[in-house]
Amino acid sequence: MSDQELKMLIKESVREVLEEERVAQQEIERLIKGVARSSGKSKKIFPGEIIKIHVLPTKKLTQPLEAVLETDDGGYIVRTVDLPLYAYGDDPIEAIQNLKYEIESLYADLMEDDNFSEEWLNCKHFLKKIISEE
Amino acid sequence: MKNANFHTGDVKRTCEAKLGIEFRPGKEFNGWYWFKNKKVARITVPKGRKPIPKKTYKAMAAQLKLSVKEFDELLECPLDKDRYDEILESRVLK
Repeated sequence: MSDQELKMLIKESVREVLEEERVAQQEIERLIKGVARSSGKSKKIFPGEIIKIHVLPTKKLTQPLEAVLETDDGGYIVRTVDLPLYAYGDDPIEAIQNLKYEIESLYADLMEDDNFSEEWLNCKHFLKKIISEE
Repeated sequence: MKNANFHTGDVKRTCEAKLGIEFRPGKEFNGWYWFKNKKVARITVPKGRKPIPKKTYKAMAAQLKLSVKEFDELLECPLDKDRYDEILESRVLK
């Protein structure tokens, strides 16, 4: 093998190693993100931010419900934009989780009967439209 | 705003005693106010907070369709059930 051929071979091997390293790095980053997402730490949430709620503790939503997170005397309050609901928590995640329970709790209340004012009947109609029982 | 004077338990007790709201235990306490045979207001009372955080206090007032001042009065006694019904009548069932 000539010097020229040897250099070409080494260059090719180095390129392959670097490419393998790049793919491995991407895979590691993907796995780290996946673990963070599953532990609920994928994204920092900031006060004033509009949050989109896609799932409830036991039900799914066919369209996201918007909520606004704010600080509240050392804790956090989160309010739904389209429903007269709020929830409080010591941190944003707790507040959002509590709001999800609130939405389900309201839905259960509204499904009991129709003895509601027009405002609440509208909420019932809205929730029936966006909550999937599956 | 007199949120600092009250515990969330005070709000729950006042709503039960003055407005006849029955709360369901859950993650938080939820209760409906009945007016003219319909459920017209639903309040959520968080468990065990003192002082009540300002925005939470305001949110509870809003759920009862009261201003913060009226909510202060409900908790401090001047606002009774009859006055509350008058307020609701003017704001909800016009």
